[in-house]
Amino acid sequence: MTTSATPTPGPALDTADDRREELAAGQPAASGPAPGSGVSVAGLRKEFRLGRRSVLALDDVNLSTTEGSFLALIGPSGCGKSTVLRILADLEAPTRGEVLVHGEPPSAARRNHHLGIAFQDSALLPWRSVEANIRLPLEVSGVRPDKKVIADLIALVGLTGFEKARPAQLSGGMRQRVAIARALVVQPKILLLDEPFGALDDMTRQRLNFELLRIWAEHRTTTLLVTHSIPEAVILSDKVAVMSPRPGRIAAVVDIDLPRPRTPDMLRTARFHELHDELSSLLFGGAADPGENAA
Amino acid sequence: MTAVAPPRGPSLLLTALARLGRAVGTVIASAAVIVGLWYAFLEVFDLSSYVARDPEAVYRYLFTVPAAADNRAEIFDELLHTLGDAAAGYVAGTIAAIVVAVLFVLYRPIEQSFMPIAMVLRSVPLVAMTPLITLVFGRDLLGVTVIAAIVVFFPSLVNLVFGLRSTPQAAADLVLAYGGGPLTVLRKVAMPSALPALFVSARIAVPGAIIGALLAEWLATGKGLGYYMQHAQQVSNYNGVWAAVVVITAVSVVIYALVSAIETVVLARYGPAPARGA
Repeated sequence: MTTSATPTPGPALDTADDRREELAAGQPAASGPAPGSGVSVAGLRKEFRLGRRSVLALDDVNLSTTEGSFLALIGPSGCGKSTVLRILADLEAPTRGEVLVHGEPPSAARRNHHLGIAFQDSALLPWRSVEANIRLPLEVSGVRPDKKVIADLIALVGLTGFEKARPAQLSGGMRQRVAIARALVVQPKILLLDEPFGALDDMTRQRLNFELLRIWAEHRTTTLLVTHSIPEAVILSDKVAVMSPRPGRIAAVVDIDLPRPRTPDMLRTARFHELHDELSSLLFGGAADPGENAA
Repeated sequence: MTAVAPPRGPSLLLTALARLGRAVGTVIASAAVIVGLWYAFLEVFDLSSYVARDPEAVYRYLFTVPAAADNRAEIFDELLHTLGDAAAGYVAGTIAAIVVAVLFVLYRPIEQSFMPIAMVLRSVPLVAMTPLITLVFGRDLLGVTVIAAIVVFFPSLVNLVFGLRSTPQAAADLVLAYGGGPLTVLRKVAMPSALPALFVSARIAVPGAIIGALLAEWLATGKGLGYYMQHAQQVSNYNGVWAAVVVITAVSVVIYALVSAIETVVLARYGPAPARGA
């Protein structure tokens, strides 16, 4: 049960090989990161107290990714996928189970400023300019802000010229770009994205998906994306974990073997549609594929 | 990607000036209405003209009678004293309210045990408490400050606790995820979010501070416009009483307009709901 949630070795190694070649150009490549070197969640259980009743939000959730990989967590609303992310960010405490982020518990990762986070609500402070919003995590973590780093990030998310603009002057898509830049400013070891494009229209969302791919390709930060969009999960991720609700469990983990770099053309390939259909049937078909069923 | 060009500089000043201009217009209009009502009131109730003076009498007392310059100087001096008392009370009351509101927000149990006590204390009439307060704090500036501060404290406290609690949750989570603690959340997110609440309080609290100062002067210190009114009444100088009431009312209204103008500028700069932009 616990092992079936981790990838079957075959396809995982293939994609890891592809990635290592690309990695060599960017960050120094780890020599074959071990499973669990990125996010490692074992036997995670979370109960919420509502008055006298207690609600089981997550039960026996197991996840494991390698360093520098992109994992999407997908599932119907209320399945607890955001709770998993909040536990990884040390915003909620697990009731039981072991959670590690790059080998350290979330509380240590949080204290050591190893986390970058973005929510569906861009959570920009309205009284701060774009620049000052991106600077906020540095101020909180007591790091001296480097003007160059911030300017580079603003350029990376395509907002040069809007440094002094207030959030109220930006469109929804631009605010999410700021939120992504802010998540990257501490040079996090892990990027936690909770439906960052969930409130955007489809066209903006698709454009930002490819922007995120480009940004991610430059940093190769271990990423966990919570989403309810199947196309978004497929085009962005190395692995997609499908969750089932009440209580939240990992129903299946699907390896996405589309080559990188990913391009908009891939949205029209047969393989993309196969993966899309596979995830759809896992999500909506009721019974998951027995081979990958973890529940 | 609809991008609005970031407007800067003069527009903010213009907004503030426009706001101030509107405020002045409102003040003039309300002054006309008040004078009209004042005449109507005297006429309808057929009040003795010995006690109930009309606007003309006040005008003569302040500007045309031979002693007008002395009358003005006397009222002006007492007014300055009263405004000093009110300012001390406002500052003390607001600082106390901020400190207590922050404690309430950081430590919920403190709020649960002290908010009911605060509300009970608030229901005790200040007039009844004043002799006690002057016994404890004396009859000079400290005593007045405490009395005016009490008037300011309670509405400000309620507003500020609400303001600090309306911190956007996602922004607070963000600060926590980057290694911040409750104090960092307070400093970076909650305090700026509570700025509008501080101004809402100011609109209630500034006139409140003036009333508190007048009351303290009337009942305790024997200085300022509060005492002037009491004394004028005792010596049957009813022109003086009415003139003092008119002056302090006018000044309160002007201060209220000033607070509104400052609010516009500050909130446009730092506020969660900027006046400009979409």
